[in-house]
Amino acid sequence: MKTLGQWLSEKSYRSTVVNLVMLTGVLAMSQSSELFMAVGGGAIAIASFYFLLRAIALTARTKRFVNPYQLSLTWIPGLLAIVLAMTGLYLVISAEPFSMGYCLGVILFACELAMLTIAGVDLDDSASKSSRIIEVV
Amino acid sequence: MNEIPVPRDIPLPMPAPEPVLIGVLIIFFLMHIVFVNFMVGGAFLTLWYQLRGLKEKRYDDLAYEIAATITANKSIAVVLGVGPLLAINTLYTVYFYTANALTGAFWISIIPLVIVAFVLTYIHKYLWHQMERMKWLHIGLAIVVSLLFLFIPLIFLTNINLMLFPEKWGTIRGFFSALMLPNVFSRYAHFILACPAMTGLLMVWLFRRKNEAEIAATGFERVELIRKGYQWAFWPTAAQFVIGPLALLTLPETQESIHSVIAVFGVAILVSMGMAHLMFTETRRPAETIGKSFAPICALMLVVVGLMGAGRHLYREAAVAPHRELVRAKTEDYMRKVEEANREAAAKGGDVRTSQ
Amino acid sequence: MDFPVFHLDFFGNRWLIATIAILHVLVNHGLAVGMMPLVAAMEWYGQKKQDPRWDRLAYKILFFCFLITTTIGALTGVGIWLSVSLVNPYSIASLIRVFFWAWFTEWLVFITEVCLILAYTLTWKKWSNQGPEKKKQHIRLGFALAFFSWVTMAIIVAILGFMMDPGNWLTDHSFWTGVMNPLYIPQLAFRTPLAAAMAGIIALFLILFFTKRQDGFRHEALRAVALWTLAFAPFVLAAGWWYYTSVPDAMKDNLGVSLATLAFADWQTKFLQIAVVTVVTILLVVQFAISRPNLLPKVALVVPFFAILWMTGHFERVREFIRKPYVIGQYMYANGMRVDDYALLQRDGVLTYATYSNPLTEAEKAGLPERLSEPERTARLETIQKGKDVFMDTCSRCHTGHGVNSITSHLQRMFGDKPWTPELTAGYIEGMHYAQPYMPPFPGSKAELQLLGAYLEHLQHNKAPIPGAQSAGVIVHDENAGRIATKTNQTEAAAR
Repeated sequence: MKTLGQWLSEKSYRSTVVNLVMLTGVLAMSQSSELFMAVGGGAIAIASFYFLLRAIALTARTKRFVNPYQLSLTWIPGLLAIVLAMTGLYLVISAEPFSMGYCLGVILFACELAMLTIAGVDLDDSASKSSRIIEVV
Repeated sequence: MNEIPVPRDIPLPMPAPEPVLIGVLIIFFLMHIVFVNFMVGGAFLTLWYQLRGLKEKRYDDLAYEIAATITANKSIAVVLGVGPLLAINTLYTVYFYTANALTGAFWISIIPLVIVAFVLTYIHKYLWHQMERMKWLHIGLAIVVSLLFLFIPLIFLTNINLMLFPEKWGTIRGFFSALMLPNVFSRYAHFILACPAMTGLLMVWLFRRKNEAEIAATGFERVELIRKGYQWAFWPTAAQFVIGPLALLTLPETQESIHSVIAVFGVAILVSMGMAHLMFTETRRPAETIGKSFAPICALMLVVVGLMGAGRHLYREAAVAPHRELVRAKTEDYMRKVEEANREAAAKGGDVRTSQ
Repeated sequence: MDFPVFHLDFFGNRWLIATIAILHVLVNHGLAVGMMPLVAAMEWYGQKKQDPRWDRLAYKILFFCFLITTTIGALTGVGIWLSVSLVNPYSIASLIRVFFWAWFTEWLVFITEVCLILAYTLTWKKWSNQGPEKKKQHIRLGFALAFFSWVTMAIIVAILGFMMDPGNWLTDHSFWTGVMNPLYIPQLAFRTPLAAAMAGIIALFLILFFTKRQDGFRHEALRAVALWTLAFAPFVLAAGWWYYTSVPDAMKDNLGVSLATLAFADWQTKFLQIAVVTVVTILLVVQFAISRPNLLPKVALVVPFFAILWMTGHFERVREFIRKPYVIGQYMYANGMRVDDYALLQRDGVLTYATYSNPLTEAEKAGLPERLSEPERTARLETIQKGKDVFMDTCSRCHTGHGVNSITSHLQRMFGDKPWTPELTAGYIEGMHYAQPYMPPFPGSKAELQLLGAYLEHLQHNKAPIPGAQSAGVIVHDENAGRIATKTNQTEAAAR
């Protein structure tokens, strides 16, 4: 248990991701597409909000130092995660419970929600890095 | 019982005037075959010099120089073959496709065989220095490539030969029986001998244009290299004076006379005599003057190749022309019947086209 | 069919074409059309950033493509010709008569393409060492190569599109009406981003081979190529949708039958599903390559690669849907008979106009009922021989005897083990095209239906493979030969 605790606390997002995966598991088990849509959609909205806020802040802060290529690297992982998580959600809602499409949808949804969280946290890291760069400059 | 089949042709007009198609066929085919000569001859010469290189290192380097030319030549050879293929498909649809089908298994195996040959050629060339310590494996590759390059032209030749003789179609049982038709092997020998000869000329061209440093790196004198090229060009060409007439004499008889064919080949023999004479003189020339006659030799070679192409076409025409008239008549007759049957069906009121 | 019949009784003839064609599409789209612009872009970027690592990577990728495209790529291209002319000489010969100049132009572009790829690859190192001006020229060479690779595809797609939907060609038989068929633009629009995305995935895979794990450049390269792939992925989906919606219009003329529409709807749904799966796997890989390039395993790239292959394979199958029962829409059926020939052939019989007969092997003669007298046996064999000829001329372009898509498996499914009497099978085949709209109507006469029925009955007891002309040869049809012999004599006499 101690090692698990250590592992979780090594990176700030790990516990969030574990929570999200467990949430997805519970939602999938519930077999209710309405519930999945409401709660899952809510989760996507919160994670997106978290990501977008950071992405916008970072873009505004580093506008003068970065080129479009670097900018796209900031935005793409999160945006892709949002799109794919919604695709996963769509699959879950439109397919019969525990059919192939449903299972794939659940997996896609969980993974992408995790990726979205990580993408947001990554921006925090790179924001602190870039602010350091700015300070140095 | 030797029945001559007369199939129907495709009832659609030719996409271009016949002379245009013939021009495409002959000109591009000759370009194709020259590069095939370079490719096949290059493979043989590489193997030969590599074997000599076992005793004397500089021959191995020479082999590498020649091997380096194959890569580009083989790509050009393949790509130049497509146009003539298109033209022969159009001009000789009935003949060509029939020959293809009758030797189908071997005909389609050209594709994997050539792929394997090319991949091995690449391995042989690009891993030359890495394979120094596995010399026999490396030479083994060259042997396999040479064998493949020896066999693949035989498939083409068998087809090209078979298409000329509709009276034989009914007797063919697969590739090997088509291989036994008269004239296949003599024509094949004629082609195979041309490969080192053409590659010899390529060698002369190659070593004339290399700069001093590059020549010095080979460990040979320039004059030696050029002389070797001419020797490769001369001796097989000399042998062609036996093989060529043999191929001509074994040509099966055709209904139409082939005087013009004989005339063309006769002129070709005369021109090649002049060319061979020049080649021989070149082999005896000292360093200062060697290569002086290279341009005339190439020009004469071009004439010979052109005459070969023309003679070949004239013979093909002589062989199939009467039969093609029968095919034309049969196709017209058939189309008339088709029209009549459609009219009859329309008169009956039913849409017989799809019988729905 | 008025050519000796080439036939592969185990895998089937279509298998031969499909294998060669899919291999060709894979190499052509993934390593030439899509990859050349990517390689040229990498070289350009390396030059712009003055970073030789990009140059080295671009060269390695190009060299790999060079090896594959000039061997497997070029030869499978020729292989499509050879295999189609073996399997369906009638259709390819007709297409050549219409499209000669398209193919000829395509060939000229192809020569340019090969010369350019030779030049681009073989001059890379030499020109790079000759200063920035020469390097710029080399980069231009790369983009020219990319352009010509795309043009070859654009021309070939026109021909493919024509085969699916000849549009107005039937009425005015001209070249341009054939080219400008309604499926051309959607198909080209689909293949272009598909090729680019495919190249992106293959390049990502190659980068993992050509760079070291700890190398910081690996991450940079993965990210950049991932962006390239991402840029094209949405267009794959969008153009796929466009294509998907234009197909029903195109096939309306061929098939009005609800059954076919149903089967096509299945194909369509599946196509969309596969396309979504493919694009999702591409996006996943791209996402991973951008956010965690150090963790991207090689095996992860195999998934989208096979998804693309799967989608391409499924995509290519649509041509069968649209064109069946024709091989050239409204002009020639899949069996190689022209629509116009039907009236004559159904009246007089296919065999009447067949030049060749396909000899029975000893193995094929086995399985006759026992206790037949010698004359009965001979008569029976004669019927079977004729029935086999009918089969070879009218069925064998798509069906085998006992192999893939075999006629016996279809009969087994429908009639089981009860005897396949000629009454049973012939009756079915006569009206088959109503029940199975993909099937052309039977082209022969009523008598030939019975002969075919007798042959199918024989196939129930005889499992010997049916040889094609490539091994068994042909017999020149007696009647025909008789007529011809006299004709030949006449011409000879006339010549004298």
